[in-house]
Amino acid sequence: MAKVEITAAYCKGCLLCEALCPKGVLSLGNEVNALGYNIIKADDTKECIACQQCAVICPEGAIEVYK
Amino acid sequence: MEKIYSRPVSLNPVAFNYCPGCLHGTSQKLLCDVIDELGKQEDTIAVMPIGCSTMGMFAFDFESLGACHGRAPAVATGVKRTAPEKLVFTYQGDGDIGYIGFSEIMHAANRGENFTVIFANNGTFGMTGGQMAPTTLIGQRATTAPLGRDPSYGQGMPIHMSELVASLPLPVYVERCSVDTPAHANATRKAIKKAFDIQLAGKGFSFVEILTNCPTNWGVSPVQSIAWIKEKTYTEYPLGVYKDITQEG
Repeated sequence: MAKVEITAAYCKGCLLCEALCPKGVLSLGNEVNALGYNIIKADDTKECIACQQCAVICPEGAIEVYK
Repeated sequence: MEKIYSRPVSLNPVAFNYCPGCLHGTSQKLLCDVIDELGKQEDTIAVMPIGCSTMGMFAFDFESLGACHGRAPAVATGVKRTAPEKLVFTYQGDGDIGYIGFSEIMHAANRGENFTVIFANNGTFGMTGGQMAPTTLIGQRATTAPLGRDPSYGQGMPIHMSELVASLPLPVYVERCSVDTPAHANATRKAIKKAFDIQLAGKGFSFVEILTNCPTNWGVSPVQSIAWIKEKTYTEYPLGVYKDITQEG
């Protein structure tokens, strides 16, 4: 059981994480943050495997991973 | 559930001032991660140059100061000589290190000063609007090279900073890394850790070049810019350790 947590205030919707996620957990959502960007959202129905690739590449440090 | 990846403590709780998908953010996050690991948040002084790279100082939660354009290695020399117990590094872009501050970086390296230079190479002047930088690739378009960089047109060849610094006798550790994939980012983290360890052991000058992107001025999306690095930047700037004399003597 694992999950990713996204800090909405930092995300700029660059989609580098979406391109890397092997399980398709991450995708661009409709929510807009204070910076004016659509932010990424994690799909709870898909299984996160805590590979941490999204968190390592995230230029904003917006993603934290739990396992 | 246990948290297995968290944002570095020495990174301020604010968003970076960079464009979406800019790998300056990833590089500076890795830097903060290494500083956290070394437990040096209170003993670090970052010397920031002019350019996009400067904006890291708003995110770093440790001492930082801004130098004149290109003069960060000269200022860092003074800082390190007056406070030898501190961890001192500069974080410079390619316009800063290759054009304006070329003299400062080469002479700091030639003196074998005991600090670390982190060089983010994205092949363009980002902040001023995408002018041609010394590291711009052949054929790459820039606002001052609208038809693409052409050496036969007097625009010169891309400068290879790592090779130049490694050709000097005194630098201890010179490596070129990248942050385009998580694996490369982890390798970059190790390289930065090694460079800081060398400095803290008083061995001398260390230089880490990081290949980054500039989606805004390359005119591509962040995801396409990663493909660009793989396709074009690697052929001009091969990754690898260019000098490491820590094992000798």
